[in-house]
Amino acid sequence: MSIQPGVGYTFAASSSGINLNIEQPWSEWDATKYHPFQVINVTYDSVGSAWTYQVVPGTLNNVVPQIDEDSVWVKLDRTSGGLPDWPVSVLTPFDATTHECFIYLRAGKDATSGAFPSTDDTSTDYPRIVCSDTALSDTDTYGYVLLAKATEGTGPVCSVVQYVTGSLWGDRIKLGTSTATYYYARI
Amino acid sequence: MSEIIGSNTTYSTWGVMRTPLGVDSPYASGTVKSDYGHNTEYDKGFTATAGCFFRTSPSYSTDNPPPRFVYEDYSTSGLFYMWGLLYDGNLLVQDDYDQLAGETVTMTNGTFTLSVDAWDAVLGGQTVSGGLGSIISIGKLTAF
Repeated sequence: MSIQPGVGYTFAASSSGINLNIEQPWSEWDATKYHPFQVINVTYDSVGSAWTYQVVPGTLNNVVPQIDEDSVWVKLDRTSGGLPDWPVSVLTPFDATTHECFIYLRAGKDATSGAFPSTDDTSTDYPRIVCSDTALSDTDTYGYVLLAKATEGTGPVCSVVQYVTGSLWGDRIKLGTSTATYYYARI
Repeated sequence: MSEIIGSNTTYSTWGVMRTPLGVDSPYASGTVKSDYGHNTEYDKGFTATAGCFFRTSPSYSTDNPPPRFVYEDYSTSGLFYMWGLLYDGNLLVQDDYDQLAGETVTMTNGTFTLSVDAWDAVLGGQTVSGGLGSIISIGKLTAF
Protein backbone atom coordinates (compact mmCIF):
# COMPACT_ATOMS: atom_id res chain seq x y z
CA MET A 1 0.00 0.00 0.00
CA SER A 2 1.24 3.48 -0.77
CA ILE A 3 -0.01 6.89 0.32
CA GLN A 4 -0.53 9.41 -2.48
CA PRO A 5 -0.59 13.20 -2.07
CA GLY A 6 -3.80 15.09 -2.82
CA VAL A 7 -4.61 18.66 -3.73
CA GLY A 8 -2.85 20.93 -1.27
CA TYR A 9 -0.98 18.10 0.42
CA THR A 10 2.48 16.61 -0.18
CA PHE A 11 4.53 13.94 1.50
CA ALA A 12 8.27 14.07 2.09
CA ALA A 13 9.99 10.82 3.00
CA SER A 14 13.28 10.62 4.84
CA SER A 15 15.13 8.16 7.02
CA SER A 16 13.29 9.70 10.01
CA GLY A 17 9.83 9.03 8.59
CA ILE A 18 7.25 10.72 6.40
CA ASN A 19 6.25 14.38 6.71
CA LEU A 20 2.80 15.61 5.64
CA ASN A 21 2.83 19.18 4.38
CA ILE A 22 -0.39 21.16 4.05
CA GLU A 23 0.56 23.76 1.49
CA GLN A 24 -2.80 25.44 0.91
CA PRO A 25 -4.36 26.47 4.20
CA TRP A 26 -8.13 26.92 4.44
CA SER A 27 -9.16 30.26 3.05
CA GLU A 28 -11.80 32.46 4.63
CA TRP A 29 -12.60 33.85 1.20
CA ASP A 30 -13.32 30.67 -0.68
CA ALA A 31 -16.68 31.78 -1.97
CA THR A 32 -17.52 28.36 -3.36
CA LYS A 33 -18.34 27.02 0.07
CA TYR A 34 -20.90 29.72 0.84
CA HIS A 35 -24.43 30.27 -0.34
CA PRO A 36 -26.07 33.62 -1.09
CA PHE A 37 -27.27 35.56 1.97
CA GLN A 38 -25.30 33.36 4.34
CA VAL A 39 -24.31 35.16 7.52
CA ILE A 40 -20.59 34.57 8.07
CA ASN A 41 -17.62 35.70 10.09
CA VAL A 42 -19.57 36.62 13.21
CA THR A 43 -16.69 37.99 15.27
CA TYR A 44 -16.52 39.71 18.63
CA ASP A 45 -14.79 43.06 18.55
CA SER A 46 -13.49 43.49 22.07
CA VAL A 47 -12.53 47.10 21.41
CA GLY A 48 -15.99 48.09 20.34
CA SER A 49 -17.69 45.47 22.55
CA ALA A 50 -19.81 44.44 19.59
CA TRP A 51 -20.30 41.59 17.18
CA THR A 52 -19.40 42.17 13.56
CA TYR A 53 -20.59 40.05 10.66
CA GLN A 54 -20.76 39.76 6.91
CA VAL A 55 -23.43 38.55 4.52
CA VAL A 56 -22.51 36.60 1.40
CA PRO A 57 -23.67 38.47 -1.73
CA GLY A 58 -27.04 37.41 -3.12
CA THR A 59 -29.77 38.99 -5.19
CA LEU A 60 -33.42 39.95 -4.87
CA ASN A 61 -34.94 40.13 -8.36
CA ASN A 62 -31.40 40.43 -9.66
CA VAL A 63 -30.65 43.41 -7.42
CA VAL A 64 -27.71 43.12 -5.01
CA PRO A 65 -28.68 44.47 -1.58
CA GLN A 66 -26.70 46.83 0.60
CA ILE A 67 -25.46 46.56 4.17
CA ASP A 68 -24.41 49.23 6.65
CA GLU A 69 -20.66 49.55 7.01
CA ASP A 70 -19.56 52.42 9.25
CA SER A 71 -22.84 54.24 8.55
CA VAL A 72 -22.44 53.91 4.77
CA TRP A 73 -24.71 51.63 2.73
CA VAL A 74 -22.48 49.35 0.71
CA LYS A 75 -23.46 46.65 -1.78
CA LEU A 76 -22.77 43.13 -0.58
CA ASP A 77 -20.64 42.26 -3.59
CA ARG A 78 -18.07 45.01 -3.19
CA THR A 79 -14.65 44.25 -4.63
CA SER A 80 -11.29 45.87 -4.22
CA GLY A 81 -8.52 45.42 -6.76
CA GLY A 82 -10.51 42.67 -8.39
CA LEU A 83 -10.84 40.66 -5.19
CA PRO A 84 -13.85 40.26 -2.91
CA ASP A 85 -14.04 42.98 -0.32
CA TRP A 86 -17.35 42.22 1.26
CA PRO A 87 -18.45 44.89 3.74
CA VAL A 88 -18.40 44.27 7.49
CA SER A 89 -21.33 45.41 9.58
CA VAL A 90 -22.19 45.51 13.27
CA LEU A 91 -24.66 42.96 14.57
CA THR A 92 -27.00 45.01 16.72
CA PRO A 93 -29.31 45.33 18.58
CA PHE A 94 -29.77 42.15 20.65
CA ASP A 95 -32.90 41.74 22.73
CA ALA A 96 -32.06 42.25 26.41
CA THR A 97 -34.04 39.18 27.49
CA THR A 98 -33.81 36.67 24.66
CA HIS A 99 -30.38 37.90 23.50
CA GLU A 100 -31.60 37.45 19.93
CA CYS A 101 -30.91 39.60 16.91
CA PHE A 102 -32.94 39.11 13.73
CA ILE A 103 -31.19 39.68 10.43
CA TYR A 104 -33.59 40.71 7.67
CA LEU A 105 -33.53 41.54 4.01
CA ARG A 106 -35.71 44.64 3.74
CA ALA A 107 -37.02 46.00 0.42
CA GLY A 108 -39.65 48.41 -0.81
CA LYS A 109 -41.18 49.44 -4.11
CA ASP A 110 -39.46 52.03 -6.23
CA ALA A 111 -40.81 55.52 -5.54
CA THR A 112 -40.63 56.46 -9.23
CA SER A 113 -41.33 53.36 -11.27
CA GLY A 114 -43.32 51.42 -8.66
CA ALA A 115 -41.30 48.28 -9.38
CA PHE A 116 -40.33 45.94 -6.58
CA PRO A 117 -37.74 46.27 -5.29
CA SER A 118 -36.44 49.77 -5.77
CA THR A 119 -33.35 50.02 -7.95
CA ASP A 120 -32.40 53.44 -6.63
CA ASP A 121 -29.45 52.59 -4.41
CA THR A 122 -29.67 55.95 -2.67
CA SER A 123 -33.19 55.23 -1.48
CA THR A 124 -34.26 53.49 1.73
CA ASP A 125 -36.55 51.40 -0.49
CA TYR A 126 -33.50 49.75 -2.09
CA PRO A 127 -32.93 46.22 -0.73
CA ARG A 128 -30.90 46.41 2.46
CA ILE A 129 -29.76 44.07 5.21
CA VAL A 130 -31.11 45.29 8.54
CA CYS A 131 -31.03 43.96 12.09
CA SER A 132 -33.70 44.07 14.77
CA ASP A 133 -34.09 42.84 18.33
CA THR A 134 -37.74 41.98 17.57
CA ALA A 135 -39.51 40.17 14.74
CA LEU A 136 -40.61 42.63 12.08
CA SER A 137 -43.89 42.67 10.15
CA ASP A 138 -44.44 43.71 6.56
CA THR A 139 -45.80 47.16 5.82
CA ASP A 140 -46.92 48.88 2.63
CA THR A 141 -43.49 50.50 2.57
CA TYR A 142 -41.24 47.52 3.31
CA GLY A 143 -41.29 43.76 2.99
CA TYR A 144 -39.04 41.81 5.35
CA VAL A 145 -37.66 38.34 4.83
CA LEU A 146 -35.77 36.77 7.73
CA LEU A 147 -32.34 35.66 6.56
CA ALA A 148 -30.96 34.47 9.89
CA LYS A 149 -31.16 34.86 13.64
CA ALA A 150 -28.16 35.39 15.92
CA THR A 151 -28.21 34.56 19.61
CA GLU A 152 -25.62 35.98 21.96
CA GLY A 153 -24.32 34.18 25.02
CA THR A 154 -21.69 34.81 27.63
CA GLY A 155 -18.11 34.14 26.82
CA PRO A 156 -18.67 35.95 24.54
CA VAL A 157 -20.22 33.50 22.13
CA CYS A 158 -22.73 33.97 19.35
CA SER A 159 -24.59 31.35 17.34
CA VAL A 160 -26.40 31.87 14.05
CA VAL A 161 -29.38 30.01 12.64
CA GLN A 162 -29.64 30.50 8.88
CA TYR A 163 -33.10 30.51 7.28
CA VAL A 164 -32.56 31.71 3.71
CA THR A 165 -30.02 29.78 1.68
CA GLY A 166 -30.15 31.35 -1.76
CA SER A 167 -30.93 34.38 -3.87
CA LEU A 168 -34.58 35.35 -4.08
CA TRP A 169 -37.34 36.34 -6.45
CA GLY A 170 -40.04 38.40 -4.87
CA ASP A 171 -43.46 39.79 -5.70
CA ARG A 172 -45.36 42.53 -3.93
CA ILE A 173 -49.13 42.26 -4.18
CA LYS A 174 -51.51 44.72 -2.60
CA LEU A 175 -55.25 44.11 -2.37
CA GLY A 176 -57.41 47.17 -1.77
CA THR A 177 -56.60 48.82 1.53
CA SER A 178 -54.98 45.72 3.02
CA THR A 179 -51.30 45.83 3.86
CA ALA A 180 -49.22 44.70 0.90
CA THR A 181 -48.06 41.10 0.97
CA TYR A 182 -44.59 40.06 -0.18
CA TYR A 183 -44.00 36.64 -1.68
CA TYR A 184 -40.52 35.20 -2.02
CA ALA A 185 -39.11 32.19 -3.80
CA ARG A 186 -35.54 30.99 -3.63
CA ILE A 187 -33.55 30.58 -6.81
CA MET B 1 -34.76 33.13 -27.05
CA SER B 2 -35.51 32.46 -23.48
CA GLU B 3 -36.90 34.96 -21.01
CA ILE B 4 -34.80 35.80 -17.98
CA ILE B 5 -37.17 35.00 -15.16
CA GLY B 6 -36.85 37.20 -12.13
CA SER B 7 -35.76 40.31 -13.91
CA ASN B 8 -36.68 43.52 -12.20
CA THR B 9 -39.13 44.47 -14.92
CA THR B 10 -40.45 41.31 -16.49
CA TYR B 11 -41.91 37.95 -15.56
CA SER B 12 -41.67 36.22 -12.25
CA THR B 13 -42.68 32.61 -11.80
CA TRP B 14 -45.23 33.24 -9.09
CA GLY B 15 -46.99 36.56 -9.31
CA VAL B 16 -48.18 36.25 -12.88
CA MET B 17 -49.79 32.89 -12.19
CA ARG B 18 -52.04 34.15 -9.40
CA THR B 19 -54.79 36.74 -9.43
CA PRO B 20 -57.76 37.89 -7.42
CA LEU B 21 -61.14 38.19 -9.13
CA GLY B 22 -62.19 41.66 -10.09
CA VAL B 23 -65.66 43.16 -9.96
CA ASP B 24 -67.64 45.12 -12.48
CA SER B 25 -71.18 46.37 -12.94
CA PRO B 26 -73.01 49.13 -14.76
CA TYR B 27 -72.73 51.18 -11.59
CA ALA B 28 -69.09 50.75 -10.75
CA SER B 29 -65.94 50.80 -12.79
CA GLY B 30 -63.96 47.60 -13.09
CA THR B 31 -61.20 46.61 -10.78
CA VAL B 32 -58.12 48.70 -11.36
CA LYS B 33 -54.96 46.68 -11.67
CA SER B 34 -51.69 48.58 -11.48
CA ASP B 35 -48.74 46.52 -12.60
CA TYR B 36 -45.30 47.95 -11.91
CA GLY B 37 -43.05 44.95 -12.38
CA HIS B 38 -43.02 42.51 -9.46
CA ASN B 39 -45.47 44.85 -7.77
CA THR B 40 -49.17 44.53 -8.53
CA GLU B 41 -51.88 46.54 -6.82
CA TYR B 42 -55.64 45.92 -7.10
CA ASP B 43 -58.15 48.44 -5.80
CA LYS B 44 -61.06 46.04 -5.16
CA GLY B 45 -62.23 42.52 -5.88
CA PHE B 46 -62.38 39.07 -4.37
CA THR B 47 -59.92 36.48 -3.16
CA ALA B 48 -60.66 32.78 -2.70
CA THR B 49 -60.28 32.91 1.05
CA ALA B 50 -58.66 35.83 2.80
CA GLY B 51 -55.56 36.63 0.78
CA CYS B 52 -55.61 33.47 -1.37
CA PHE B 53 -55.53 33.92 -5.10
CA PHE B 54 -56.96 32.16 -8.12
CA ARG B 55 -54.76 30.29 -10.52
CA THR B 56 -54.80 31.67 -14.02
CA SER B 57 -54.71 29.44 -17.06
CA PRO B 58 -51.71 29.62 -19.38
CA SER B 59 -53.81 31.53 -21.92
CA TYR B 60 -54.45 34.41 -19.56
CA SER B 61 -52.71 37.56 -20.67
CA THR B 62 -51.25 39.49 -17.77
CA ASP B 63 -51.62 42.67 -19.81
CA ASN B 64 -55.36 42.51 -19.16
CA PRO B 65 -57.28 43.46 -16.03
CA PRO B 66 -57.87 40.58 -13.63
CA PRO B 67 -60.59 38.08 -14.56
CA ARG B 68 -63.85 39.49 -13.25
CA PHE B 69 -67.57 38.93 -13.19
CA VAL B 70 -69.77 41.45 -14.97
CA TYR B 71 -73.51 42.03 -14.55
CA GLU B 72 -75.37 43.61 -17.44
CA ASP B 73 -78.86 44.82 -16.67
CA TYR B 74 -81.37 44.60 -19.54
CA SER B 75 -84.29 45.77 -17.40
CA THR B 76 -86.48 42.66 -17.74
CA SER B 77 -83.50 40.33 -17.54
CA GLY B 78 -79.80 40.41 -16.88
CA LEU B 79 -76.63 38.66 -17.90
CA PHE B 80 -73.89 37.58 -15.49
CA TYR B 81 -70.63 36.48 -17.02
CA MET B 82 -66.87 36.24 -16.72
CA TRP B 83 -65.46 39.21 -18.60
CA GLY B 84 -62.92 38.46 -21.29
CA LEU B 85 -63.79 34.80 -21.54
CA LEU B 86 -64.45 35.02 -25.26
CA TYR B 87 -61.06 36.58 -25.86
CA ASP B 88 -58.81 34.82 -23.40
CA GLY B 89 -60.33 31.34 -23.29
CA ASN B 90 -60.41 29.77 -19.88
CA LEU B 91 -59.19 32.50 -17.56
CA LEU B 92 -59.00 30.32 -14.48
CA VAL B 93 -58.04 26.70 -14.04
CA GLN B 94 -60.98 24.28 -14.01
CA ASP B 95 -60.59 23.45 -10.32
CA ASP B 96 -61.31 27.02 -9.40
CA TYR B 97 -64.37 27.18 -11.67
CA ASP B 98 -65.66 24.03 -10.00
CA GLN B 99 -65.36 25.75 -6.64
CA LEU B 100 -67.39 28.72 -7.85
CA ALA B 101 -70.33 26.77 -9.31
CA GLY B 102 -73.29 26.70 -6.94
CA GLU B 103 -72.18 29.67 -4.87
CA THR B 104 -74.71 32.36 -4.01
CA VAL B 105 -74.21 35.74 -5.62
CA THR B 106 -75.60 38.56 -3.54
CA MET B 107 -76.51 41.69 -5.45
CA THR B 108 -77.87 44.99 -4.19
CA ASN B 109 -81.44 43.96 -5.04
CA GLY B 110 -81.45 40.18 -4.93
CA THR B 111 -79.55 36.93 -5.06
CA PHE B 112 -79.03 34.04 -7.45
CA THR B 113 -77.02 30.83 -7.65
CA LEU B 114 -73.92 30.93 -9.80
CA SER B 115 -74.01 28.39 -12.61
CA VAL B 116 -71.40 27.15 -15.05
CA ASP B 117 -73.15 29.22 -17.73
CA ALA B 118 -71.41 32.29 -16.31
CA TRP B 119 -68.08 31.13 -17.77
CA ASP B 120 -69.44 29.30 -20.79
CA ALA B 121 -67.92 31.08 -23.77
CA VAL B 122 -70.57 29.69 -26.13
CA LEU B 123 -73.56 30.80 -24.08
CA GLY B 124 -71.84 34.07 -23.24
CA GLY B 125 -73.07 34.15 -19.67
CA GLN B 126 -75.75 33.19 -17.18
CA THR B 127 -79.21 34.67 -17.63
CA VAL B 128 -80.46 36.20 -14.39
CA SER B 129 -83.06 38.75 -13.31
CA GLY B 130 -82.90 42.36 -14.31
CA GLY B 131 -82.53 45.24 -11.89
CA LEU B 132 -80.25 43.39 -9.49
CA GLY B 133 -77.85 46.28 -9.05
CA SER B 134 -74.24 45.83 -8.03
CA ILE B 135 -72.31 42.76 -6.90
CA ILE B 136 -72.04 42.65 -3.11
CA SER B 137 -70.63 39.20 -2.41
CA ILE B 138 -70.01 35.87 -4.10
CA GLY B 139 -70.48 32.86 -1.80
CA LYS B 140 -67.25 31.67 -0.23
CA LEU B 141 -65.15 34.43 -1.73
CA THR B 142 -63.68 37.20 0.40
CA ALA B 143 -64.17 40.78 -0.76
CA PHE B 144 -61.46 43.39 -0.42
